[in-house]
Amino acid sequence: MHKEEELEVLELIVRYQDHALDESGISRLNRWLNESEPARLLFQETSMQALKVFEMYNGGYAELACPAQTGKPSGRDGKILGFPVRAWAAAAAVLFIAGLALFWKPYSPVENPSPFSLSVCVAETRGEVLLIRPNGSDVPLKDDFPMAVGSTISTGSTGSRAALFYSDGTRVWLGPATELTLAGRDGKLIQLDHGVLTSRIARQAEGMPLRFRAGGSEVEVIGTGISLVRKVDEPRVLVHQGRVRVTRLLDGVSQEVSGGQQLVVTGKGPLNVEALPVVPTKFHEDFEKDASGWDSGKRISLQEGQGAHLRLEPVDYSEPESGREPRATPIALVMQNGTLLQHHFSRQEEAGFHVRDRQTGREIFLPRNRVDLFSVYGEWTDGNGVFSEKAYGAREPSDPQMLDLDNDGLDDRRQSAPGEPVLSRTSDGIVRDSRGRAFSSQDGQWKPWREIYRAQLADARTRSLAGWVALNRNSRLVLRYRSEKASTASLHMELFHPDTHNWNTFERELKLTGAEEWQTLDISLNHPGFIAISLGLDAPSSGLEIDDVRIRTFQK
Amino acid sequence: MQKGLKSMGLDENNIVKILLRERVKLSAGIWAVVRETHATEEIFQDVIVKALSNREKINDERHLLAWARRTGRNTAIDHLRRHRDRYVVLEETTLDLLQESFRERTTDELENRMDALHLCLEKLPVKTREVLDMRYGKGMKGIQVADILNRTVDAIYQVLSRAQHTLRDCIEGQLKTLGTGPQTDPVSQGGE
Repeated sequence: MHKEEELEVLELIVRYQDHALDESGISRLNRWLNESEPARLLFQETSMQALKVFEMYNGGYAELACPAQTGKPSGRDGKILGFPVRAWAAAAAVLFIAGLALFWKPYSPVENPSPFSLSVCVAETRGEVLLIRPNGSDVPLKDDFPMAVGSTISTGSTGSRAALFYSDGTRVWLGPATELTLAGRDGKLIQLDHGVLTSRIARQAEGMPLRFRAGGSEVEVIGTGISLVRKVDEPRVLVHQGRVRVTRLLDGVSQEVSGGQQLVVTGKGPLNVEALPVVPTKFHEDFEKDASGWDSGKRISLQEGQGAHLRLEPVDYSEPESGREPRATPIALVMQNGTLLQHHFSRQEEAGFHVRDRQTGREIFLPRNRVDLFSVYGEWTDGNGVFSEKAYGAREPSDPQMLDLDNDGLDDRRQSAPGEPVLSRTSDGIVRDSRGRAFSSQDGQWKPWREIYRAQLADARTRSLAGWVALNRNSRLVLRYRSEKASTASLHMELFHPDTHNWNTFERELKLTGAEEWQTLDISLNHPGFIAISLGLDAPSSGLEIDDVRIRTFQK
Repeated sequence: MQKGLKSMGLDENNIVKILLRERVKLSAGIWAVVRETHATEEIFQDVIVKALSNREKINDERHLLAWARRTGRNTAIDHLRRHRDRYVVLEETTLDLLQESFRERTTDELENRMDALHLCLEKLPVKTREVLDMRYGKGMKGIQVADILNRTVDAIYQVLSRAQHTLRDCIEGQLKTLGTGPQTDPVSQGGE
């Protein structure tokens, strides 16, 4: 299946999903699905995507993942199962814990594990995942296995992993070579023996925080930000976002750690918070090397030695379906001289018109004087669905050379259509009329297109967390640009504050001169505490190129 | 002994476990008809409830799944009749074909694809993800999404269909590199 066909089927499916297909649309979709296995696979994929988005948006199907707990009807509204549709906290937390050594008294599982009122299940298992029994024996774990307080779960070496789904929406992912025990009420005290944890934590009830224990320290999640916690030889907690409280269990000394901070849990003395040691101080996109991080915008190669730059791409521009390319068959002439003759206009010359007989396909020549002798019925269409117009005209007695059916003051024989030109595809790939107006293909019809071109780096995390740039008062955005046309582009950045979870949008106009030389934009980004999540450029015309995008963060 | 009337050992737990294991396929079959996520959940739950109350009539796992697919579809059509004045749905034969090709896919394969899909959804541009979340996460109609975002409904359909095309490409790419799963490596992320 070609890309164009895939997109056609996908659009039919999307409309079907929205109950927006009419009988003809459903007939086309039925035909595709009946005749094409790839189309059926597309349909399945889109169904899965819709369900997955719902699951991710609404916190998943944790309770569903606990079949052993759902074997008996709950009596709730006749359902044996409840979907955990409680929304995620506005921003969930992510915790990573890596442990190497233990130096506190190990947690002792309860003698008779009891099921949680907050259910926890194992899911997404890969490789070797074991349930460790109190007597030391183990049993392989499969997805959907319900965990009880006191359960210990262990993953094998490289490639093994598992997840814990809490019914409140909290997720805990175990990396390779990890072992942990669920403790506390509802398993909300997670004791990491060794390995790596990744968690996304739903908003917790007041006074009942989720806690992690590792290496003689306890980490209590206070905020709901995104955090990174690690323990090496000495327990170390690194928090990238959100807020946690770290307590040394030996003497009860505790310390809050916020986003951008770290803390090493020493055996004695005060717990000192420090700034995270490695924070990228600049962001740089050199398109001559790689533009793959940009999700829109086209990398263009120039002449040898000149490298490559990024060019903005059309936004929401739809190309025509196959066979519906712009056509220039503008005029059908119907001559009235007592009998009705229909001819398609073919071409004209000084002496008259060449037309093609509609019925026979035979081309005939109509001398200009013959046209002038009779009244003329003209039907104009561009063949592309933009317009269709009919009109009667007659030879003007005062001006026998004039033929103006659409009363636009122009001789129709010198036009391709009455006042409206036909569409053609220009070198930049956009379909335009002769006045330069852009058209986009929608539902087989050409409709005016709001001309917007965009390049966007949607998420700087495409190069991992280290790709984010933490801004301070001295931060600056620098890039170079040039454009083919003079206009005004808009630059916009999405900024996120990891502690407050506030979003901010930075916008700036960019004057485009149309000059061939590169110009440099160098502007202040005075948003201390924020990180740059995305960067985008919009322009009302094509031909804007950008290169060497940098965010510089100078220390005070 | 009358055929088909005696249970062949599928107790409540087994029935639920099998249906939950096949949740993706069964839900997708329901979704293909009803096209509303909340309703899909409700109907899937109904199927489980009905399966439990009819467990004496269910012979084995194969019988259970065939019955669940049929019941899910019928319940979905009933739902449409009750909640929509007018609706169009795919032809019966088309639904059969869809279900058949879905049935041929292994649960492992689907789970892998769902994992890859999870990662790919995270990679979508923010604005695209916003549209997907509104349409499928919140269950809003396309026209509602268009109104909120000040876009045309056609543009929303374009965004959705192109997003799904992107996701499909991404999933294929992910599956090639998912040998060890999508686990990130916090050691390299921590910057030490």
